Amino acid sequence: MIAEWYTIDGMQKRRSLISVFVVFLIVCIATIVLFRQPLFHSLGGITELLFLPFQKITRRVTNDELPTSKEALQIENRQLQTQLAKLKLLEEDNKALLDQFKNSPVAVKKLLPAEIVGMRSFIPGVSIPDEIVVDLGGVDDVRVGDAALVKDILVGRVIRTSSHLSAIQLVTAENISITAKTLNTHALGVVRGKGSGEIAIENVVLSDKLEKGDIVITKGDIDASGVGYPQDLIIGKIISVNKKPSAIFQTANIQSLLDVTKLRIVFILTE
Amino acid sequence: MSTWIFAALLLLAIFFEGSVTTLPLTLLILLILTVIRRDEMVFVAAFVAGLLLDVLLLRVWGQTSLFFIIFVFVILLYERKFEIASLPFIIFSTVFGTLSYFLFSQQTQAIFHAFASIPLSALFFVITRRGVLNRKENVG
Repeated sequence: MIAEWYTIDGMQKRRSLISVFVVFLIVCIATIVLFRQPLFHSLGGITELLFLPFQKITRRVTNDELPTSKEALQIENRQLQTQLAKLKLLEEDNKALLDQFKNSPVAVKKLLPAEIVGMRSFIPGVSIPDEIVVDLGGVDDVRVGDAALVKDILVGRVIRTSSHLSAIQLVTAENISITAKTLNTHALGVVRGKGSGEIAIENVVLSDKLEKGDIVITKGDIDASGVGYPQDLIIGKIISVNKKPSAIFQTANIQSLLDVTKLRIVFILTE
Repeated sequence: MSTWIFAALLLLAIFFEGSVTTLPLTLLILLILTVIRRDEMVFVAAFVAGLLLDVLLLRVWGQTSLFFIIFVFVILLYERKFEIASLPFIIFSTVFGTLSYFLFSQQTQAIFHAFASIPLSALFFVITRRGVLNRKENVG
């Protein structure tokens, strides 16, 4: 009995399959190569604008925006506001000093409100995503590296942009690292995301003190082009400290003060 | 199952995968479409679906289409050697396809998503096969 693929009909079908595959392969490769051309950018922008309303509808239909007002959160909120007030006082002092000594002017930053149109996670509304997509892009002056925040809490950083959309990597994502310090004890370290909503501050020398409940803020690493994390943005609160005398550094686990799954709008800090 | 129903499901999968979930819904729908239809039109669906996903996820255009095209081609190659419209083949292709897709698109938790996708693809395959069989019975 002759196997089907050795019959003339089978061979013709196989040739047809391979031909179609090769054609589409060439089209795909051509698309990838031509992706960076200005014409494709315009086409991309139009396509994004066409699909943006559907993305927003999909997101709104599946987003669970239950209120989260509990007594403990209210108390914590008040404490944080107090600490923020102290930070603001420090900021005013700093500004006065800068004015006094006429330092080179800091580039003016603006906050752009951006609606979240994509928040992909394993179980929507439950699992913590690693990145989100917002409805602002290159045409809105959003650049790769711009920080995203809500009030004074750091949400993440822009990692990809297109004409009308931007992808923001959250602080909880793996492979993210931010130079940071603690608010009360001024311990310096590096905040690293562990995925699944977990964050840790690492590389803290043993001589520095880490306290449970202390707030971790960004140290600031803006480069010459004005891109990077601004200083004094809140990352989270220390929930446990891991200190071993035999280790070189100590670490601490951090809990974000934001429930990202409940967010609808973030603000992008750009020049 | 009618082509329009498949197209609607594919579009729905693209929007859900582009906005809401990390499960490879589009890949699963394409897999079922390939084993049911077994013709070259699936390449068109794979290319367009990949392109739309690239737009929604801000990837390089054509990147996901390239993967989908190769995936569909490999499935159709095996049509000559195995019975591809069978549950074991669907499960194997789901695991293999999801693992490859996550590695290709540099996403995390590939193994977890591969095994989480099995019930989805199996369920959808059973429903569509039943739909196709019922249609054949009605026509016959």
